[in-house]
Amino acid sequence: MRILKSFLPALALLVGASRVEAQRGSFVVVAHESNPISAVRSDELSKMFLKKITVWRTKKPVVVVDQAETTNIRQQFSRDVHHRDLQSVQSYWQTQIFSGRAVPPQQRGSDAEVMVFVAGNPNAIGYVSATATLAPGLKVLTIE
Amino acid sequence: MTTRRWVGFLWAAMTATAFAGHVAGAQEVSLEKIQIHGYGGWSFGRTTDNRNTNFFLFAHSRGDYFHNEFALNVTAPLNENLTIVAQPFWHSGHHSNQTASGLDYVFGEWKFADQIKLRVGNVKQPFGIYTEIFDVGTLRPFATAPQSIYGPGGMIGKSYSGIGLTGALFAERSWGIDYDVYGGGLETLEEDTPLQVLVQGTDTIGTGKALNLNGSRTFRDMIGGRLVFRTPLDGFSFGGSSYSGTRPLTRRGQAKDWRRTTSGVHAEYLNDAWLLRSEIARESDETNFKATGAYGEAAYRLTYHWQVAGTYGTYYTTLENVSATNIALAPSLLDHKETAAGLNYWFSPNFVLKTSYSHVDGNRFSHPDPTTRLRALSTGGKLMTTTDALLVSGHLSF
Repeated sequence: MRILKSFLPALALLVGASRVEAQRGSFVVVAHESNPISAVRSDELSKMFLKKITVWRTKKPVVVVDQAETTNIRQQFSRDVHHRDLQSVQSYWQTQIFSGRAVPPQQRGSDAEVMVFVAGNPNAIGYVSATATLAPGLKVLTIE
Repeated sequence: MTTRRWVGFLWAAMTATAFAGHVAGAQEVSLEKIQIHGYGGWSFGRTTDNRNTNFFLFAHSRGDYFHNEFALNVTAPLNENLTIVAQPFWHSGHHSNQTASGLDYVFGEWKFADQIKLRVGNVKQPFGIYTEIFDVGTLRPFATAPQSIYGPGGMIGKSYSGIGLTGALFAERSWGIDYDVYGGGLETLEEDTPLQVLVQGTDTIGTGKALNLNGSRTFRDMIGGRLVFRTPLDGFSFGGSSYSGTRPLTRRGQAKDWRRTTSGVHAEYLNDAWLLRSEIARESDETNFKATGAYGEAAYRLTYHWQVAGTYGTYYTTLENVSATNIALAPSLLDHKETAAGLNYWFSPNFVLKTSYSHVDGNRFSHPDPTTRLRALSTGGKLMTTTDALLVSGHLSF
């Protein structure tokens, strides 16, 4: 029990650190400016990008756009949000595809392309580099 | 798969497409939305004792270089609710004339909500861990899925033809349930030559005429289901599956249709480094046989590229209404115990080279060519009850 008591704060610190990293790290999560949602939980975000959650809290369908697998930001997102390396996430999608359950989200090769996609779709969600200049029609979602 | 069934499936797909067009106001399907994926592989197997006449998987004493497979997966989301999925395959194996092509599945899925989706057509059978990804080599640590459940014992089918419901409950929570219920017809994958030998005894096996090679059994009026519980421990899930169907009259003097019921439980844990999977299933073929299969499988990634793997599996059959004299011919034909170790090199998640070494006790899934050596049992011949095999395979997916 004593070990458990000392372990729990450390675990909380790790989880908290991970959330902070996702929020202030190398990427920001973007949505259409008309979307009334302004914040998402980290686990909710992960489930959206794995298509386990497919509707917003507003009951509108979530349209996910991912970054290309070859990009550093995709690897960072995978580590910070899914808590998995990209290899594991790719295996997850293989399972979904070949069991006929789901197919991966559309991918775009750059921040600019992701922003064009999200700005053009009121239900879209994506992520871009934290240093990218945000295009008109977008807003940043807070990760809780 | 017969031409007639192909035509039937294509007709069903076209009807579903037309229905989707009606619902969506004859909306065209954007080519950008259609996703095409695929997988394939090549395998080599050789039993290590040159005197050994047993065939195990694609391995025999001279080595088999000609085991190849490829499948394409096409997913066409016609609108927010309707998706058509099809997967044609091609497969070849040298030693037992296993060349085949056809459709793994083709079905339409209507999504009412994430909690309820209706599937109609030829759908992958949801049973245990591996049925839905049966042939995908990049999703398992060994060249094949564990034989104790997914081998030629007939516990599972690749797909069912009929109607099913599937969905995910409580997806937003840390605990969640994925469910499937389905009904229709099912073709199981089985090779029951060893059982036929024991049923028929010395009277008929000497001719070899009554022995079937690899094949399938068709079950009608089948219903089944699977529940998978997702847990707060990320990557850990467990669940249970069951189906039951009847097999039409096939034997003269048989009083009624046979019923086959198979049930099992499974658990798996996956993270970046570890893969742990285990299943146990029980198969009951009314008035014919009962069988129990189980396996445990573990794999660990030493680095991004290197993975080690180990497995142990067992399968045991109990024949009904067969004399002790016949069983005494070769009791090893009822039994399968397998221990295997493997070493894999992953170039990427989409391309892997695997090697493994298997030691098998029993002849249920590892036995000689039925047309020659098994017939020798009728004249007092003996089987080699152990088999050691080296398997090498390459698998790809995209």
